[in-house]
Amino acid sequence: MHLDQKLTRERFFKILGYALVLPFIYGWISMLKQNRLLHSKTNTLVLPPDLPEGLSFVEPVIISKKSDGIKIFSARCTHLGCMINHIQDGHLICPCHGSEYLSDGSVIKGPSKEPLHELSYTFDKERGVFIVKLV
Amino acid sequence: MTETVRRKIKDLIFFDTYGYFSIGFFLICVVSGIFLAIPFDVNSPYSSVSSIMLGNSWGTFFRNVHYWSAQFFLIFSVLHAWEYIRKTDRVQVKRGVWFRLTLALLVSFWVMLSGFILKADADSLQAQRILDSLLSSIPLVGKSLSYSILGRDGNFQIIYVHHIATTTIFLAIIIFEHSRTIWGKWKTLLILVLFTSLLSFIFQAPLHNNLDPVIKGPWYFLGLQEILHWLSFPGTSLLIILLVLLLIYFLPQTKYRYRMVFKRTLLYSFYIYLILTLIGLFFRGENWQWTWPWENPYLKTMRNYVTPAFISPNPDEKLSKEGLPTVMDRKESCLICHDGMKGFSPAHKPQAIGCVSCHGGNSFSSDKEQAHHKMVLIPGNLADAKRSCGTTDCHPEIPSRVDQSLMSTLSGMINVNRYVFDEANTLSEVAHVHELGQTAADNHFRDLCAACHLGNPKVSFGPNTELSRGGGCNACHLNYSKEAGKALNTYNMSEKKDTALLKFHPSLSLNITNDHCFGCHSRSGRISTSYEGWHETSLDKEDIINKSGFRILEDDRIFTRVSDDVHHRKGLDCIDCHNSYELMGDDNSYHHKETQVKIQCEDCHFNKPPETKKYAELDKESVKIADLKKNSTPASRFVVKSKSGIAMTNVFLNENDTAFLVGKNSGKIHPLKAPAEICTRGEAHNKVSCSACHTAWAPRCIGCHNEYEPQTEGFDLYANKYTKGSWIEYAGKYLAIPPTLGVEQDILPDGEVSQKIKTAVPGMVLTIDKSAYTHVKGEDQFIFKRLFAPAEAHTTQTRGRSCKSCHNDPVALGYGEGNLTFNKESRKWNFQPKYQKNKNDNLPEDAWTGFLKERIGEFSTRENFRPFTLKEQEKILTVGTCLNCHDETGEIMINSLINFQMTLKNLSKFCLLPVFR
Ligand code: FES
Repeated sequence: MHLDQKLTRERFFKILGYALVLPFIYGWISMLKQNRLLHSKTNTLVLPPDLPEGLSFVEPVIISKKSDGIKIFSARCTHLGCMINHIQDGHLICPCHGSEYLSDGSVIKGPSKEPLHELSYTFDKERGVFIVKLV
Repeated sequence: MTETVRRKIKDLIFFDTYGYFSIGFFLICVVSGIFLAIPFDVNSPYSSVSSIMLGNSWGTFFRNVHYWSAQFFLIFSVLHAWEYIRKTDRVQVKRGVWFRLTLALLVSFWVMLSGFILKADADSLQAQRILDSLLSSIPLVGKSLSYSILGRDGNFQIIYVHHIATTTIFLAIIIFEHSRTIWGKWKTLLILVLFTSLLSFIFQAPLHNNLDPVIKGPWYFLGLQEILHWLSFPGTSLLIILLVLLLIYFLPQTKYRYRMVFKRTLLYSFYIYLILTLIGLFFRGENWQWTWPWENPYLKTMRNYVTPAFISPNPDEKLSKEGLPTVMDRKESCLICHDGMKGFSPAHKPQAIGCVSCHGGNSFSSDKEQAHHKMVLIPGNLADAKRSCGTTDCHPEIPSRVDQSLMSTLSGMINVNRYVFDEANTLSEVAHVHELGQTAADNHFRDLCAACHLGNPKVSFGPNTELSRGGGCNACHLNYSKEAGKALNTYNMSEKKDTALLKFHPSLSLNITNDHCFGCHSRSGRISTSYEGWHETSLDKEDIINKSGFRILEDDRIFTRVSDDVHHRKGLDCIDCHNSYELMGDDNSYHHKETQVKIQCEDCHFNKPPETKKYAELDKESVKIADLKKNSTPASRFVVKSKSGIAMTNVFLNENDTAFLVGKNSGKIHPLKAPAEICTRGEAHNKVSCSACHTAWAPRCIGCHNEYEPQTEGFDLYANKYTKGSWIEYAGKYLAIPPTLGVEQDILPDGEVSQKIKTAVPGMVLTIDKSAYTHVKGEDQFIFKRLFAPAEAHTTQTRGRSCKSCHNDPVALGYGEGNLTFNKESRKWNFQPKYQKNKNDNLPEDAWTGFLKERIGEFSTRENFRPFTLKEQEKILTVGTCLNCHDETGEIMINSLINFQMTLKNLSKFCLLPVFR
């Protein structure tokens, strides 16, 4: 709008109309937040104690058990979030664009750049199970 | 003239504008969508879509109409947009309207994509995840935007609302604003309805069976999928899309000069995108690998696009009563007809995995023809194992392992054969049967040996027999029960060959018997027959009429009874020693069998506590096997194979440290014995392997000749086809005598030399005449080889060989059969061979090395295996000299095991040491 343009009534309402978008955006974002909160589940996964050696899948995680310990990764590819569910020659392969990861989660072939997200877990001695915290 | 014809054809096909086509398809899509919404259930979308496809033929028809009209709506919308962009010089559109039209283009893609996601199959779920990641990568509002468009994880309600309402209403408004009509033209609409109906009657709208490992987005985003493959920062793709939209939006407002540049950019980008789409559609296979369209599993077995929709006005009574069979959330039409099928192992029951998991076909159709379309009748052959046994939910890592294992590659056999024909320079080349060429060596291999590889497909129903070769997974895992055999007989006898007669299915299990191995392993090294105590003869059936002690194999070879292996006598099967990693490979490529086989006698017969693993420490595969076989208890500690570090699931120590082996098939418990004290007394025999002493006999064949016969009809065992001309083998004499001994010598990583005395048999003692093959005459066409091979004969006896049977035995020493004597006068050893000397190397026909001679040149089928050197022969014969007088169980000889040098120092006056030079 040029400064020399007159602020007619119609123009005023038009600007006001556009300005109303802002509280709507605020409302929209708050609504989403509250909705997420309402539907947030306890995001944990329970795994049995005798996890198998090597790589295995339990959706939505990948378990890598080796002599030096257990690592649990999110099965979502760090490129664009596809669920990885395939092993070939000991490598984890994403079916969507072919990223490859080693059993320690590191990337050996792109397009992915980031290693798999490692998830923290605890061992519940009483129940004798692993509890994995899903992010 | 041609121009007129061209115009006429064009007018005939494009009887209306792209815009009206687009409107027409939009309308068809909306109306068919309303019908489709009735059977579609947004709470279980995949299940409801598969139900529609299977049990609701009119529902299927509406779904097909909805799908095809949508695809054409998109195509014509894009064409129409391009038409507009081309005409921007002439057509004036208001800025606001042009903005909304540009936006409509984006919305059109979104309405399509949301429809793609709503079928909720494997492709859709991955697409949803990708979209979520892409939107979330938009700064500030990304996550909220994604949540508002895609909704909660695993919930399709929001997407559904956007698909049927938001986007549809928006597009309807835009269409109306843009063209001032919502109906288009009646004639066009009518033709399009007919066209879409016909198309929908013939071609099925796709649904992923959630088994095929290939994941693809909708066809119009396959180009984008390719682009994303190259983008490590995928957010860039959103910028590209935004850029394209901005380009389109600003196009009418830019100056003519720039406009032309913009248009060209758009056009070339479109062409590039088209090429990428074609690549994505036809050339991308599993794991993003490049494949040719005819090899592409996506287009091959698992998905059925080309199936005529089957429309029946009457609903299937049976289906409405019993409901649609569901397996893993997938509707499985196969079970409608094949529901009572019995005979499966628990893991393979159709109720658990369905039929399509193994057999492919189309589980979303109840019409026989359609359901059986592209079905794999005998799954498990290695060529399609990845799409049957090896799918993601089943045994995904096995096919590639098996493909690298020796039973598939035949690497050692091919390499040795080529070496013998002077077509390979070393004995340590890795080869694969699939790379066999058309040379003298490879043709020799094709004619005589190439049937026995796991990739050789099983092509007919029925159990494995002595004549079976290869067969992929079935080679080991297929078992026919009596009932399954009977059902097969009924089927074979029937005229119509209706597979519904096969009420009993053969089982696929871990019940792998010696008979499974017998077909291939009763040949070449003949370990299967030797293990059972049978030795091949050159007799004919007529020779043994009314005679006992013979066995006629299904291939008519006659075997005679010799002693069987002690493990066989005890009831042990091949799989009791050879575990899954040895048989199916462990992801490594091996040159020769002794490197892939990890079991050693010492793994079970130990006198020191062995390394063990608890159940929780087992690898995934061993856990599976241990669970299925149920041989162990929670307290069992599984003994580890020292060569591989893999635990044996049937060999363990109990609470009292007692070691047991449980027969995997028999369940019989065998306490394990430690080696006898004599085996480890002193250091004299440290280098001697167990089998060197405990092998009772080994089959051997001498004097073999190979010739090419150009006029003889042959059979290429690899290609399974008849050929003109064939290599023929003329076998010599078969013998069953204790084996020759040789030395396996390796340099260890620390530089030390390791030596092990092992058993050997004549591997390739033969003459080859290549002249008829090469059509060249001359001496260089004639090959003579005398190569021995390391071989575990599988004829173990409890008692070891006597001392004399090695130290005073010409066969053990490598001289061949004959008379080995010691002359007390001259104190010299003499040898009179039984067989004539071969004119090619002047050695007796069955010898490996000359009597008290150093063998040089080529002598073995392995680079690390050799006959005894002259010095070693002298050492052995020196002990042999003592044994001429001293009893091997006497004090002198027993003590000599501890310190032979000391024994030599304390010689009596009667002792005669040999003179060698
Ligand atoms: S999402 Fe895994 S490679 Fe793209």
